[in-house]
Amino acid sequence: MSNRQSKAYAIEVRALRKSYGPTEVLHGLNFGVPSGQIVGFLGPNGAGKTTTLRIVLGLVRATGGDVRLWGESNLPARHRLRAEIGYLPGETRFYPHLSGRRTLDFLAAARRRDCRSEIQRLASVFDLDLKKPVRQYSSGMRRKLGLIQALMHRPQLVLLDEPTDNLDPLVRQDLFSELRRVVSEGRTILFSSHTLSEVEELCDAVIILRAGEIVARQTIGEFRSQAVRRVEIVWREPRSPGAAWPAAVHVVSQDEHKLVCTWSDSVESLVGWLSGQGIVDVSVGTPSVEELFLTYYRE
Amino acid sequence: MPNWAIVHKTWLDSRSAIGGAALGTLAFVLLFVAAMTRMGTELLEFVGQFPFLKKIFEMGFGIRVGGEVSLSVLFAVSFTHLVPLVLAWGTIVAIVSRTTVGEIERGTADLLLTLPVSRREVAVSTTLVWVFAAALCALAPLIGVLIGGRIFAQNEALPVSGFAKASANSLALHLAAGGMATLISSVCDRRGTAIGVVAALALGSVTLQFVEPFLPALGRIRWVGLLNYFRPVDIVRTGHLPAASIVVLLLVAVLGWMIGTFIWCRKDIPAG
Repeated sequence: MSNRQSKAYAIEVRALRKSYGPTEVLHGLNFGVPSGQIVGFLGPNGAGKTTTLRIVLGLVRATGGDVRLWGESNLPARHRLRAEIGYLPGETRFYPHLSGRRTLDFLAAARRRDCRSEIQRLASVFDLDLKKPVRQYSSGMRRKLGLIQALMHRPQLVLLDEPTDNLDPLVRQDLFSELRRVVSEGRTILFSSHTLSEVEELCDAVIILRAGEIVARQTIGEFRSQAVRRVEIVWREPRSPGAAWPAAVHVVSQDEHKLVCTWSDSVESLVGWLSGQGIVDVSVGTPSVEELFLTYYRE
Repeated sequence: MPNWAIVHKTWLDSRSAIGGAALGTLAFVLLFVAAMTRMGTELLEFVGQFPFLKKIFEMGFGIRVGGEVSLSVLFAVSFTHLVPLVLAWGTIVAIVSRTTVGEIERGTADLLLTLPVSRREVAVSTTLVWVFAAALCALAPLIGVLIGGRIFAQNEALPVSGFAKASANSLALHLAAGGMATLISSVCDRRGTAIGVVAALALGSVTLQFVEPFLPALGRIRWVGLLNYFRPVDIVRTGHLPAASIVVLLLVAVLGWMIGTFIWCRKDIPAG
């Protein structure tokens, strides 16, 4: 166990505020990311996830509050702590004239680390051709290159900003396996996402952010206990939009023939309710983050 | 301390521009020396017939038209010509702005600035490359004059130390341009804006230099233009290094760089 791993928290954020002119985008965030865990940072676009990650990295200066990495809060020394951090930005952009290999070699040399064997292994895991110039990469390939540069130096803390964007399902599973491997070695991951299912699948805990405020901090067990399902029902007979619904129903949209809602109760109770309703079709799935907020976190 | 990987990458990204600027300046000065050797005297006689051109030559280049003008003094005009200045400044501004504002605009700042390298180290690493470019662009006219003199004006005894001092004046001028470019790039959000502002300032300084003979009122603000402190023709003619001018240019370079780097180190890097 490294010195970093012996610290209870990899990240501690206290009363973190950020304003751009008169607009405050983070309103005093408080949270911790325990060492050796994958924590999901969940929220709709514009909630402040990326801004928070950028403050942690020192790319953006906080207006107020404190960010500690492994207990250290010294901002001028933040660049030294970055030796132990891997970061995947939300938008992965590289030097277009360099090949994938040259890009990674440059980043490794700037880190003063020999990452050759890890680069080779990760390129194989993500099935990425490093010989091509980056300008010939698809957006998915650039995402893979971004993941490799974030992981190649085996950092103690990995910050991933919506890492599954532009990845196909197979590569997403490879990524999840790799992230589980990282955590199994006692390292820490903060994983920002707006997709519930991947946070549920991967994370030990979840921090839910909305409009610059934390609305919930839960273990994944607590999160699952609130399991919400997205239900689309097509009625056989037209129904008045003013119809009364069970308490478990939170309407997303409706017309005479169709109801889209979230269901915040057991599947058995859903089936029991639907059995007497005269339906043509029903589909049950995972709600979007916005629908989850409508169900649990509306003001 | 510089980060040598960043120095190396900046060099790889800039070497064509640096080489092009240095070789372009060298070629231009060789042509200039050849032309002045063949028709410099006639040119001055021609210029002397037109008061308008005479004033430009006297105030802009520091040549006393009608007096005894040596070939060496005519060669020194190549240092102040727009071609070497545009090549040198264009290259320096391109290198400076590529890191300070270009990385942000391109979205690659997230990679560079999340490395375990302080922003000051990034600035120092980039600065090494543009200072090298400035030195090469300041040396190119000196080399051009020495080679051109050897080829085209074998009877002229060139004052090598005078040209070397003019080169030192050029270096100080290019460093001042780099310092100003660092400052301007640090406060701009777009690379095009930064380059445009630096170009406008350079053009303003050149215009001030050449328009002032016709608008004496501008003489009171002549001191704000960098070219006011760039006098290679006077240096070659007198052999004296204008220490005060060099100090002013170096002060502009150091202050521009320090303030620009201070601002850049504290700048929020927006998401790409």
